[in-house]
Formats: sequence, structure tokens, C-alpha cells
Amino acid sequence: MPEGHTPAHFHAWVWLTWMTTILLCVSLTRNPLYLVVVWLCVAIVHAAGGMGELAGGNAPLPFWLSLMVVPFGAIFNAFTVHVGERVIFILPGQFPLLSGKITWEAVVYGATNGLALSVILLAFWVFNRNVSIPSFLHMLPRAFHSIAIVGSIAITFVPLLQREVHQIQEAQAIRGNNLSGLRNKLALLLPLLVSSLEHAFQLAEVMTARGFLQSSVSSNQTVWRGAFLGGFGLLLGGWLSRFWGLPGWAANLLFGGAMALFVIVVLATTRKVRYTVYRSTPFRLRDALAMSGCACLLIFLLFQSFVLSAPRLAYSPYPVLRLPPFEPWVACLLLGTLSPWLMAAFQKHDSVS
Amino acid sequence: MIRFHNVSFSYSPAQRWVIRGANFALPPGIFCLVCGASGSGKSTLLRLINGLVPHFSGGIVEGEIDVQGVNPIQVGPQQMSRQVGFVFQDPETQFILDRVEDEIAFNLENAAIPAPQIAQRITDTLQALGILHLRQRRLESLSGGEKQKVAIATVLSLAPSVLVLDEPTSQLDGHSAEEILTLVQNLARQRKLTIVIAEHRLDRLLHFTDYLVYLPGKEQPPLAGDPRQVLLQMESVPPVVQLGKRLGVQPLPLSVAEGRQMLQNVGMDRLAHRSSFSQSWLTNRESRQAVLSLEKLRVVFGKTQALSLVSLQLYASQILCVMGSNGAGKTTLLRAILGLAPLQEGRIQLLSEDITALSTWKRSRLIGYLPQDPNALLFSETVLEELLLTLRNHALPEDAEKAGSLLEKLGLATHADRYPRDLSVGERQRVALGAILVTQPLVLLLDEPTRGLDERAKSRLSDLLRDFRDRGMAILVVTHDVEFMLNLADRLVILENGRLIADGAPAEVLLASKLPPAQILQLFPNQGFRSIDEVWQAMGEALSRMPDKNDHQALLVCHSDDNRPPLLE
Repeated sequence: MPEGHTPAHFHAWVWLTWMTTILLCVSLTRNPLYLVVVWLCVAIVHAAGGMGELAGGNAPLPFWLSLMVVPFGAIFNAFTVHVGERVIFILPGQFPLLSGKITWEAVVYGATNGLALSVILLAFWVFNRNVSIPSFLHMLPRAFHSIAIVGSIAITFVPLLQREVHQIQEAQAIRGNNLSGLRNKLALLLPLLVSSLEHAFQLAEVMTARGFLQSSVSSNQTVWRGAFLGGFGLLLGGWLSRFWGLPGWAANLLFGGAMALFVIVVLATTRKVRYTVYRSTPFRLRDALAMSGCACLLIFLLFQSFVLSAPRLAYSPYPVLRLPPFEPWVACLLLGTLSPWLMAAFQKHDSVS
Repeated sequence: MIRFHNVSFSYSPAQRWVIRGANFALPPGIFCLVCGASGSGKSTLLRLINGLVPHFSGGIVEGEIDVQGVNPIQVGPQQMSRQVGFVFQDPETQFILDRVEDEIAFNLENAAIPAPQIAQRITDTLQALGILHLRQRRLESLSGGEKQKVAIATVLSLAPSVLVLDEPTSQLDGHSAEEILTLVQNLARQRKLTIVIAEHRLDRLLHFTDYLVYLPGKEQPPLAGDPRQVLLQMESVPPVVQLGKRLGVQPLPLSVAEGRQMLQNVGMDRLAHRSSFSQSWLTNRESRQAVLSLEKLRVVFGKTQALSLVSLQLYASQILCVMGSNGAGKTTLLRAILGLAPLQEGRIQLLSEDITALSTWKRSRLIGYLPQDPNALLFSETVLEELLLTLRNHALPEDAEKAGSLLEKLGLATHADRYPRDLSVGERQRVALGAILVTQPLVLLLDEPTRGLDERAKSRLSDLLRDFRDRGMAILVVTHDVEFMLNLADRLVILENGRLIADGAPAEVLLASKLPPAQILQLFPNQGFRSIDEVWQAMGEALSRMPDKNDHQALLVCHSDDNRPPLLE
């Protein structure tokens, strides 16, 4: 086991499943009661701190900051969507987009959207805190190795970009620009673009000098790229055949062909990509247990949405505001997102006793 | 073995040759220094060794290159990465991941090194560089010197036989630079590595160097060979070599120790200096009003005291240099003066006005600040427009004539219509200087202005700053460059851990500090010489007082006893 990897950590797959479940939950429901349950679960996991490889690596996101989007969403929606029966007041005048009736329905819908955003924000923070970049990269199929590296560079580029923006703002102030007004703020863009391009160029040079993908150079790259494009062609053909009203079996045949081609390309290129993995963390029983709650919820959500097409989680405050439905067993299932925290707490208790 | 046979390179057929007729051969395990002015082709030459040029940059190559039996032009940089490790100038831009161990492992994973070997290789490399304790650290938490060591570790982990370094110490303080260079030299010995390193600061490296490649630029072929022979044909050389050349000594001294021996041999080691430790500013400072007054400045970042009750006065017609190790608080001091670093405590006064509460953009009208990277200040389409933009920002009249005359003074009149970022490093710095000087500030603050500058550009900058000083400007310069400081400063202050620990005449303060002293001070520790010209002048005066003025050289050499009187009282 590599140094610095303590047994309390969960496998990156646990967090990916957890994250996927949260995102699916948030995308499938606008029921504020269920969203509150999910938010509380994520907040508990977030407050519990690092349970992954980077335990304590990043500072926790303050809750008030994540909740700021809730009133913002409510106000924004109230002033831009003038739909609903329960009117709070009417904004007079001819202000484009703003003037009209301000309704409770729009306020509730905006706040619910804000709550969903808050959940996403917290969940990403938890994921980022518990999964290191190398672990994340190693989860992806080898065929996508270069794409994964680009992704990791993009992640590490964010703090650099922030520093760059700060530096340019200071330089503007030194030159006597007080950065008030949109025109003055636009003066940030050009230097930021130039410095970002310079940085990208330097990094590309560094990676070339270090021999990035040197071991993976394939002589058949053009063939595989062509096959990949062919797959997209078949996919497009399938959609077009549905659009033109051709028999369903024809579209399914084209879709199947596309999928088969994608799988062949991914498998073939995976064999060509040569790299080794330093931190290969084994997937253990406790990882499976920590994942189980999320996995159950994930299966339920997928089954509900794509097989039954049942609107059990659906809710809309429009056109008339009413109490959202609440089924206790659904809420219990949502508590499955607490499983990493429960497993960590159980382990802690076990090790203390 | 690295062999260049008649190698010429140009970035495009329409452009001049950057390298012309390079012919040299480096045996394995050699320490080779590549030097030359900015734009002379040092980085290009280094990149030819691993094939980054022309594979990454494009361009036309003529001649043959052989690196360990492989032609980098044919196989390209990716294949060459196993033989040639390349360390770039700025460690910050070299990192892909966020932790030391992951960063090194990334290289090895990509080279498909079996996983069980990776941990061992990481340990061995970190141990060789003496940074095993940094293994789990986040890269952002490391100091500049530590980052550069990690950058070296990253390329060394692949066990290359050639290590190429492009100005690896340009952003480090004297101690960190010395540490890195000693480390590199030890690696060369222990691992039989061939080292090829490009540097402007020859004084830091000559005593390590086995082989010197000098690029004179202007399509002249490089001079290569024994350092003492090549140095004879170079214009810009470190003070110790300069003195040796003026004295006509052969072989030339490369280090301070060799310089001292040379001085003993010619009887110059006890040469006295009439104007030692000019202290005019000290004697009359009570009678002058400070242009900039800092009172008990305190700046705190988290739990770190970046500045701790720093008080300082800066006078008109004075160049004050601030030195100290990396992280001592030098840049923070400048930023605090400009209002870019928030003060916890203290007061800043410009003439008789308290400016502590004034915003940065208002202060910048009267206090010019040139940050470390002058590129950050350049936004406009043309050089002239840069100057006019500052005037516009301050709601001052856009006087193109006045801006033009400033450009003339800065030696940029012919570049007025050019795009600023297309200019050389030294020229870009002067454009940035123009952009902040166009408002005619009372005070000028410069942060590491010699970074990336060659000797000629440094000398030009010194002349410019002296000219501004003579016109009454108060100038504060933060620098690691001791030779530049000694040549320029009227006064030196030293910062350590955010505290001002010394303030006085430059040579005196520098000698009493822990900072690495300038070569001239090491050669003449008590005589107060600040440049070779002063030494030469004193020597001339001493010789003129000698009884037999026709045999100066013989008289200088004849002293051999320790009881001889100084040449000049």
C-alpha cells in the first residue's frame, strides 16, 4: 500500500456512486421535502470531514455559502417568471422581464431550484475532498487516458486561473484602473486569455518533454478514430430513421451497431494504451457496504424513471401552490446517501471499542 | 556523449538563424554551462538536445545532432525523454498534479514502469535530492527552492543520462540557488549524469563548470570549450573573471578562491580604497524630509506574520535596496505600500500626507510599482498606447508628446508602434516601467527587476534608475542580485521573517548579513569597493604613486610578504 494511504479511506468508486446517486436524485425531483432530506444527508457527510484519500485536504465549504443560492434562486425566479395563481404583489411599469405579477409559486420553484444547486455544490465539495485526482483518473477506461489527463489538468488549472485573475486585477490597479464599470472589468479578459494560452503552451511543452503517451503510440490510430466516427454516424442514422418514421427495428439495428462499434474501439484502444497504476487501491468489503445504500437508491431511481416512468418523485408548484407529496419509505431510501458516513462511523466505533 | 556538428536552426525560412554553425562535443558526465545574452538562442540550443525544437516549435534544422547515439531530430522529444530529462525555468508551470508523490509517479506511470518499482524509484530519487520529507506534501505548500527540487526529481525519476536545465535558479534567492546548483553538481558526480545548464548568473556557476558554450548571437557561431579560454572572448563576465582579464592573468580565475590567489600573486590583496562606505545619506538624513515614511507596518496572512512592525524612511534622490531570503516579506512590503496587502497595523505617509486609507489606484498616481512579472502590466496593442492608457486611467491629459519623450528616455522610441508582448524581456520591462512612470510618480518601487535579464539589460536598467535618482526620485528595489544591488544601491536594508534587521551602507550591511556576498566583497572584504571599475581606479592611483612608474606589473607582482603596506592609504 502506498505511503499515506490509511485504511479508513473509501475506494473512489464508492464516492463516484454516491455522487452519481445525488446528481440523479437532484435531477429527478423538484419536491422540496425530498430535496431537504437529500440536502441534510449530504450536509452530514460533508460535516463529517474527509473519509477518503485526501482526508482534511481541502477546507470545508461553509454551509451558509452553499445555502446562499436558495434565496438567490427564489428572488431571481420570482422576478423573471410571472406564472402562478397566488400573487404576492404586482411589479408595475414596463421593465422588460421584471414587470408583472410576483407569485408564491415562482418563489417556491426558485427556492427549490436553489436548494438543488446547493446540494450539487456540497456534493461536489465532498467528492473533491475525498477523491484524489490520480484515483479519479484511474477509474476511467484506459482508452480515455489522455482525456482523463486533460481533465486533471483542467482541475489543477482552476487555482492557477484564480491566481492569474487576482494578479491581473492588481496590475490594473497599479496602472490606475479602479475596475469599476463593465468596460474596465473587460480589460481583465485579454490579459487573462493571453496568460492562459501561454500557460497551456508551457504545459504542453513540459508534457511532451516528459514523454507523455510515449508508451502508447499506436500505429492504427487513424483506423480507430475512423471507427469511432463511424459509430457516431450509425448513431445519427438511428435518430434520423426514427425522425423519418422508419420501422423501429431499423433504428434499433443502427443503435446496436453504433454501440458495438464503440465497444470494439474502446476495447482495442485500451489494449494499446500502456501505462501503469501506482496507487491501485483494492475494493474491500467495507467499500461494498459503504456503497450499498447509494446503490439501492440508484437502482430505485433508475427503475422508477426509466422502466416504470412513474412520477413518484415529481412535483411542481405551478400552476397553484400545494403541499408536495411525501412518502416516508421514499425518504428512507434517500437516507441511503448516508451510507459512507454510517460505515465510517461504525468503523470508528469498532476501532475505539 | 552529446555532439553538435555544424548545427544551424531558424524558426522559419523568413527569419534569421537563431543558432548558426554550432560545433561541439560533450563527453559523458560533464558539467556544461550555456550562456549568452537574452535572445541569443540558449533555450533553443537546450531544446535541440531533446528534440523539443523543432518537433514542438517548428523550424528548420541543418547539421547533425547526436545524443547518446540517438538523433533527437529524428526520434522526437517523447522518445528522447528516457535519455534527456528537461527542467524548465518556472517550476510552477511544470506540475500536472497536486502532490509531490503523485507528480513523480505520474511520470513513471506514463513510462509504463511496473507499479512495484515506482515506489522504490520515488524513494530513491527523493533521497538523492534530500527531499524525502516532502513526499506527501501538496505542491502549493512548497517554497520556490523546494518546488524546483521536485521538478528535478520528476525528471530524474526516469533515470536519464542527460539532465538539461533552463535557468533553474532565476527565481530563487542566493542561498536556494546555491543549494540547487550544488545538488545538481553532486548528482552529476554520483550518477555520472551529463549536465547542460543555461544561466545568466555566471558567478553562481563558473566554479562548477567543465565546459562552456557561449552564444554570441547575431548569427555568430557559438564558442565552446574550456571555460577559461571561452571567457577570454566574452564581454560580460563575473567580477572575478573581469579583474583577471584586466590584469592579463592566465589562466583566468573562475572562483573567488582562485581570485584571492590571483590577487595575492599580483600583490593587490591589500589594496585600499579612499572612498570606502559612502555614508552621505546617513550623515545628513536627519536634515531631510522623507518622501515615503513607513511606521510600524504589520501584515498578517493567516497565522503568518508577513511584516512585523517595519518602520522605514525613503528619501528623495536615493536608491534603497531591500534584500532577504525567499519569504522574508520583501514583496509584501512593496504590496503593503501600494495597498495591495492589507495592513493590520501601521501608517504610511507620502511627504506629509497620510495615505494609509487611500485606495491602490489612487496611490499608484504618486507611487509607481513594477511587479516581478512585467507582462502582468501589459494590456495594450502598442507600446505608446500602454503609456497613454495609464494617463487615461488617472484622468490625466493624454499627452502623446510627453509619452514619446519618456519612450525616448527608455530607449523605446523605435518600438512605439509595436505590440508590447512581442518585445524582448528587457524591452518589455522598460515598457512596463514607462507605463508606471508616465504619471511622474515621486516614488518608484521595483520587485526583482533583474529577473531574466542579461548583463547588458541589467546595466541599462542600472543607468536608467541612476538617472531617475539624480532627477530626485526616491527608488526602492527588492532584489536577490547582490552584484546588481552593490552596483546600484545608496542604502541597503535586510528583511528576515518580516522584520527589518539591518539598515545602512550596502557593502557594510551585506558583509554583516547571512546573505551570500558579492564577488567583489569577497575579494576585497574591507576595502568597500563596489565595482571592478573602482578597483581598477584605485589600482591606477596606487601605481601612479609607485617610485618606478614604468614597470607597474613588476611592482604589483613583487610584493610577497604579509607585512607590506597597503598600496594606497
